[in-house]
Amino acid sequence: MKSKEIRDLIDFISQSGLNEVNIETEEIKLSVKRDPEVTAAPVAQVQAQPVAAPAPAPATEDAPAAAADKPADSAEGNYVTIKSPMIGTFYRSPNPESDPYASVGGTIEKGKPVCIIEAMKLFNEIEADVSGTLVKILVDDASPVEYDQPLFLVDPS
Amino acid sequence: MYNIPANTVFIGKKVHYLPSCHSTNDVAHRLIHEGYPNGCVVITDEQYAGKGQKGNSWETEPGQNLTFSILLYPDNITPSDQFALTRIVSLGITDFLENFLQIRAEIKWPNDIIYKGKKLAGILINTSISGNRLTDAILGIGLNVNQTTFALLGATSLTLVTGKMYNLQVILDGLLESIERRYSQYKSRKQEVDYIQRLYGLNLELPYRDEKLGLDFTGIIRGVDETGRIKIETENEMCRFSFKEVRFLSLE
Repeated sequence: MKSKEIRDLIDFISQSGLNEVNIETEEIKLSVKRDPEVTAAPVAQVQAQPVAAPAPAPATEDAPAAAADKPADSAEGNYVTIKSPMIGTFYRSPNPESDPYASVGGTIEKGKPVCIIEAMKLFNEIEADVSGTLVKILVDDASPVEYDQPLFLVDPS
Repeated sequence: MYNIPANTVFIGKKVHYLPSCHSTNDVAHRLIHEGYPNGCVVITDEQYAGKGQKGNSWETEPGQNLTFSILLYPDNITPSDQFALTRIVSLGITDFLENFLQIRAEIKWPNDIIYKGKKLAGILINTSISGNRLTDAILGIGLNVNQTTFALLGATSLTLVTGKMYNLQVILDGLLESIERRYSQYKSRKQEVDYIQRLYGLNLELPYRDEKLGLDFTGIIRGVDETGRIKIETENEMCRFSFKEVRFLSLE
C-alpha cells in the first residue's frame, strides 16, 4: 500500500463518524483511533510485519511488507519471502565444507533446497516453495531463527 | 553381506550394502531421488566421513561396528513434531539393548546413547521439508559393537560392556525390529514418557554449563518440552535449552 493511499484512508476515516478503525490485509495492519477528548489528528500505526507471527524483529530491516512507508516505485512489494518452518539454527550450506545452497543474485528453484534449519540436532533441509532470483538473505549463517521468520527475499518474476 | 531381516514389516526389506562410503546418510539422500522405498536401509563396513553432527566425527574401525541409515517417507509427522524422530530412534536403540542384551543404556539428551557415561551409539537425523510437510527422513545410526580400542576416551562398545563378540547381522536385525516398533507407535503419549524416563541425569542434581551466558550451574533435568528443548530445574527456575546451549559437565 502506498503512503498516499494510507493518508487518503486516514482522511476518509477522520471525516467519518467512526472512533476506531482496524484494517488488516496480507500486507499491512492499520489501526486508526480517534480521541474525542483531544480532537487531534488520528494516529496511524503501520506495522512492518504481517500479523500472523508475533515473530521477534527480523534480523534485518527490510522485510517485504515494510514497503508501506517507502516510495511507491520500490519494487520490494513484488518480492516474496521464504520463511522458517520451525525454531532452530539457520545454515546456508549442507555442511561446513560445502558451498551455500543459494547466493544473492542466484536462482532459486521450487522444490530445491535453500538452507538447513537445525533443531535439537535434527538437520532439516528446507525446500523452496517458490522459484525466482534470490534478492536478499535475511538471516546470518549459523544464527537462531524463530518459527515463520523470513529467511530469504525472492524475486519470483 | 546383510541379508534381509525376517521380523520387520517394512524397515530393512531392502538393504543397500556398500563395503565403504563417505556417509550412509549422504548415500540414502541420493537414493531418495532414485525412488528407493520407504524403510530402505543403507549400510556400510567403513564410513570415511563418519558423520557426527556438524564438525564432530564418529570413529569406527572397518567391519567392527554397525553404521547404517534408515530411509523413511513419514507421511504423518509434521515439521513441528519432528522431535518424534529423535524419540523413535533413541528408544528403539535403548529398547534393543535392554531387551536383547540386558544393557540398560541411557539417552544423553538429545540423542546420544551412553552406558555408564560412555558413548555406545550416535544418531544423526536428516530430513527434507517442503512447505509444511516432512517429505523424507534419514535416520543415521552408528553403534559400536565389537571394537575394543578407541582413540577417544568416552567411547565404549557392546563388547567392552559385556565381554562378548557379536554377529553384526543379528544385532542389525534386532535394532531394526525395535526401531520399527517405536516408529509404529510414535503417536502414543507413552513414547514421550519413556524418552524422559531414559534421560541421563533425570531427577539428579548435576553440573551444567549455560553456553550462552558462559555460566556453570547445578541443576536437575526434569524433562523436555514439545519442541525437544531440555528442561533443567535450577534453584530459582525451570530453564529450557536448545542443543548447544548447554553442556553436560558431568560427562567431561
